[in-house]
Amino acid sequence: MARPILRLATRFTRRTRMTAWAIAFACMVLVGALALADGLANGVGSVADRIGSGPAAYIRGRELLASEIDANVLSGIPGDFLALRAHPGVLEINATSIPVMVVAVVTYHAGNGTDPYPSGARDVSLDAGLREEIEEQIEAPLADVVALDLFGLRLTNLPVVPPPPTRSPLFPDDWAWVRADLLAAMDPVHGGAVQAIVTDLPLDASTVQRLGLTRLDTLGAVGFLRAGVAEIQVPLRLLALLIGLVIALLVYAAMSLEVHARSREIAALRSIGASPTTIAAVYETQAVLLTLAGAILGAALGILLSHAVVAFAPLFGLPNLVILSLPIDAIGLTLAVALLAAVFAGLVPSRRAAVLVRTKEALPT
Amino acid sequence: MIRPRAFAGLALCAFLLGATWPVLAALPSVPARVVAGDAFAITQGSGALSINVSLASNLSASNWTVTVSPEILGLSVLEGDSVVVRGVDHDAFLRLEGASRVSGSMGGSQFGLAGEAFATRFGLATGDTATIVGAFVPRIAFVRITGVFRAESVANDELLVDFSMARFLTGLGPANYHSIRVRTTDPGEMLRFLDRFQSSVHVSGPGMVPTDIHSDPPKDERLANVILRTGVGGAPRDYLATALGEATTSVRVVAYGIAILIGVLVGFGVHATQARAFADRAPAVGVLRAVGASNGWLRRRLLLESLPFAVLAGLLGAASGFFAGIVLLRGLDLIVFGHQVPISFDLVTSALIVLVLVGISMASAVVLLREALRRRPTESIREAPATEPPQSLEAILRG
Repeated sequence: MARPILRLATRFTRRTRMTAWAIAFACMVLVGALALADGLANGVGSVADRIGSGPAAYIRGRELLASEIDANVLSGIPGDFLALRAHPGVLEINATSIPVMVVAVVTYHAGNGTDPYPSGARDVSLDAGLREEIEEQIEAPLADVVALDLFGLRLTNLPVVPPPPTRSPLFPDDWAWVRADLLAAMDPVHGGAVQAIVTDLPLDASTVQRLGLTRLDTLGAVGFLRAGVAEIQVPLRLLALLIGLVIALLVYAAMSLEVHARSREIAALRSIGASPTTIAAVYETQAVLLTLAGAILGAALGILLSHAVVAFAPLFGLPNLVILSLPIDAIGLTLAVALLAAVFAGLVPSRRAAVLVRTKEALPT
Repeated sequence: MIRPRAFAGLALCAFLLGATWPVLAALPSVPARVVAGDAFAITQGSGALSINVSLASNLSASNWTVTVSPEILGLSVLEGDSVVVRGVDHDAFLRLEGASRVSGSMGGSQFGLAGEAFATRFGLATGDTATIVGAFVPRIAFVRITGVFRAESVANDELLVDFSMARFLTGLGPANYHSIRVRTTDPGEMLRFLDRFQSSVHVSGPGMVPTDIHSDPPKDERLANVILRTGVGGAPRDYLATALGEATTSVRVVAYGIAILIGVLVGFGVHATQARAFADRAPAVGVLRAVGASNGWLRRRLLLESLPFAVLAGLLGAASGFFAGIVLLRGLDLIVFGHQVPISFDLVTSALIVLVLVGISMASAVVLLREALRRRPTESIREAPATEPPQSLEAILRG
């Protein structure tokens, strides 16, 4: 039964061929746009890697302050890096409460970690910018001791020591520095974990994967561009929905016309024993084949279009930032959307074809 | 001659245009809204560095200025998403934007004020701390949210910080800004002042032709090309004006390009819908011709019948599409380069949607009638549909 249905379904008229071309155009737009967006993301990533986005920071999750990296695994990471612990807390000094960032930085060299500053277990080093801010606020010289509220605990009489002698240019000058041991003692779970690993050279991929880390671009403009291009891809995928609707409309109109034009033929098929299911299958199959042909053609044209845009862009002074690859995802999405639209849009005309002879519309006079 | 069944298809096509075109029409204005908003924006020209504390204080001291807001723009990332961090004088900025307080404090020398949409997007509230990275230099910093504000401008999607934090994030010198935005009662006097002050600046704003004072116009050469060729140091001094022009042009090309492609797709849809509806009326054309109707009369008749359908479908579809677009955009929270995709009622775009739909519908009707008129009236009147004989693949393959 499948073969006759396929034979009848593959009879294309000028109108159905035109519909296939229209579907091809719609799919070309979708594949082309998605391929270019993917290519732009690849290109921006490549340029960003070439320019260099500064020291790399690795965190777990999306937000540094919520990141928790097990401190015990740090000695197994090759190379030199800083282990940054950072927590928002409240400092009480000269009877004034001030929200501050409390940080501890441990320097790792060949697997050995050293906590260079401050040296005292309970010392709190107020950096230069923080000192200025506090002095401006309290309008008096700083006291020698402070109280610190962190992890729901309060430590009092902590000695204040001078700012750290050296600081990475990555970090601002308004942090309160403590030793990592102090944080771990206050809260072994949250205080013991490291929030970020900061390195001059990127970590190797296997370490990043093993520890479940994600890279935080410390140069925001690069990250902004990367994230912006990724954001553009979301509305472009919504374009698929719109194109699906148009394809459904085209298929519905084309198949309705086919059924309308072939009403006598349908009556003849019914009279020689074709069941309503067979008749419906013929037109449903035709809708799917028509769309499949259009979608495949459109996908191929979309790939050509994206390559043409990239090839001709320099002629118009546009920077060639697009690195194209085979848009497998875009093709898959396009075929899925087109076929889904065809199946649904073909249902009504094919059902109408199946019941046509009962309504006697199709009987010859 | 056009059956009412065409109405649903036409309305669907107008719906698609109504849901997409207003968004696409609004996109090109986003870069200018980020830099200038609805005030006059003064940005660095190609000459000596001029956007600085001295210019800002002299502008503030002039009696023809209402509000002067010096600003530093930083492009950053928060939780992997793009965000704009703006260094401002909170008092001047909030006054210029007409912003209102939602929670927390709007003052202080060190502050982090989150726009309401920004705070909602990242689940931040007053008292929370967020990690921000450097804009144009590698940095890691933490900003404590000291307040949340509401504004009807792009600032609602941004994070405002004090100048000290903004300079740390951008690497900008201690006395410099990226731009100065001004509300003034006398734009002409402002231009004369900038000329007398020997400032090398570009000025743009509502109802003003972009003006270059002691500066060459922004270069045509693309910033990306310059940076790729010479590195970041090769960028011109007036990179902000150049980047703004490029961004606007690029977004316009992409948005209008997509709008045209959607228009073509909708054209196919309209024609397919009308072809189906007109197929049932082909015998009527034959009858009318047989009783003496001329081609011109038939054409006029068809256009007269199609017009109300197209206009009504255009109005209903465009309106419902517009509201569906608002619901969809808000529901999906679509963000492009750190800002929510804008959608607002635009009479010109709405009228254009109806006009385009009516135009396509009329053109399609004329094409369909022309095809029907090619057939002899007797062929059209016959019971048996006069269709093109099907051409099977088997027949083609067998020659």
